[in-house]
Amino acid sequence: MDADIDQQLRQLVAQTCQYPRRSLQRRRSLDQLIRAIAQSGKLWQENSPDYEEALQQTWLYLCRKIENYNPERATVITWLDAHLKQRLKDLRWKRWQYMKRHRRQPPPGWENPTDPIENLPDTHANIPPILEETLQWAESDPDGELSSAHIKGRPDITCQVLILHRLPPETKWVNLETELKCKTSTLATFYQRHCVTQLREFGESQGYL
Amino acid sequence: MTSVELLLNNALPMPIMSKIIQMAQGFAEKQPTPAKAEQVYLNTLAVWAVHDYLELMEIDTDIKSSDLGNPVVCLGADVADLKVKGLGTLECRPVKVFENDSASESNRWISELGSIPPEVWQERIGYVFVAIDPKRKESKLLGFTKTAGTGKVVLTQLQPLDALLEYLDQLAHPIVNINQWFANQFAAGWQQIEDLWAADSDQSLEKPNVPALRRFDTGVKLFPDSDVMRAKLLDLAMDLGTQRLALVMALTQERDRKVNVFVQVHPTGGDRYLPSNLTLALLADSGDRLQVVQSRGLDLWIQLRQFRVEAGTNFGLQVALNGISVTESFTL
Repeated sequence: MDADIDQQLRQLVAQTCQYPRRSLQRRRSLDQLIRAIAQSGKLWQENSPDYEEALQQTWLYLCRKIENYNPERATVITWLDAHLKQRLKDLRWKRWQYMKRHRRQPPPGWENPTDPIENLPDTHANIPPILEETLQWAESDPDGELSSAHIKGRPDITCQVLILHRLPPETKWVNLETELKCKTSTLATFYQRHCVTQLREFGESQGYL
Repeated sequence: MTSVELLLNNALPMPIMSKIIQMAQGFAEKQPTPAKAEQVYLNTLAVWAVHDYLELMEIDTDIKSSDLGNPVVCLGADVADLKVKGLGTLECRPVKVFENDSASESNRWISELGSIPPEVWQERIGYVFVAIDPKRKESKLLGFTKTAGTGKVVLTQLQPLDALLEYLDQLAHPIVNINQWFANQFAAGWQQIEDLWAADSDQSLEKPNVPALRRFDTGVKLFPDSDVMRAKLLDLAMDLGTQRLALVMALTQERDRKVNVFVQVHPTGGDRYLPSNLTLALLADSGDRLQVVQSRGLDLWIQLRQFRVEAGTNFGLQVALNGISVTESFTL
């Protein structure tokens, strides 16, 4: 079984190398190769906060340096494992250096939360001012642009009306369709082309980026 | 196993790096409601999963310009956009992976339906669905669809990732219908050889030598019997600057709607000779190479053996140097 996988991976590597870089055939072949390696479950695994970064760097190494693979020296998995373990070592070393400089505080994000969604900060406790500021901007319309731009033939459906409806707590698109007697696709196209642009510019002007 | 479980199992996994989780949490913290925070968090992970995959495939993206970095846009719209350079914007739609508390491996599932919010129904070249499994720090690329339709997508009916690669490749290299050449209609970039020479010499002022293509300006007719001849400048982005070449193609109409094709590659700018080890290949629709020629030391040009194409056939011409290639696709 193992020998089968080794053989399959060697063939995929040889096949990939035949195609020029950035060609569709090479990309397809690389996609197949990554899938086959991942599904074999044979790549080195460990529970470390650096693991995912080291793994991504290993995939990059595979895709960029595939011509470096020498089938006479190692199996594909052994070749990649060596790279993966070296990256883990490098990243661990970088973390130690960081901790030394910062008096042993681990860098932010290294705590390795078990479920990041559950660990999202309780935003209700400290509501960021962004909603209030955006609502105030949309209501006061300082440049007069929000209340002047409207859907063709519907002067009542302006950028301002739509933005105020779509800021949280947002009115669902289906309900807006009934309320404004206008098709969702018409509302959404206008929203995407005009309202999102206004929101983007306001966000940039507030220095939120 | 249900078909949606099978889809999840066979999807391509991408690791979710700690620094990306950190960034996603940073974006989420700027949002005022838990629902918005979770939406922005998952959207960020979806965009990065697609970015990381395309990076492996050497498909250039511009993630910095994504609206995810603008919290006001995220507040007013459910966006997860990723620009693919020169091609357009992909929307990356996250799908949450649920899990039973029991430790068994098979207890993960996703909903059978994915959704595309109305505010991104337009101005997208496609929608990629990504299953986000934060516990395993793994994203899985499920597949893609070109259009939003009514915003509801049956995940098991998505096109596979392989088709996304093909689709992006087609967008980057539109298929040229050579039938239209006989009606004097040419796709962008396919010029009269004299015009191409003029455009090329404008761009190579720093090289005062007689441009190689000039020989066409002085009365040499490459394919005197052809019905139509056109040429296109190809840029091969090398590590040290760009290698510019001219792909010349001439066609002769035969009986039974067959067409004879002549293909050559010439140097441009001030270069007199082609670089050595340049290959020119004729590709079948399957991608197989039907014919290959390679330049040697001092070749003025290289050419394929004349070939005949039947109506309804697709073929490709691939020019490659030191592992960098450009492919042009044609149909008759």
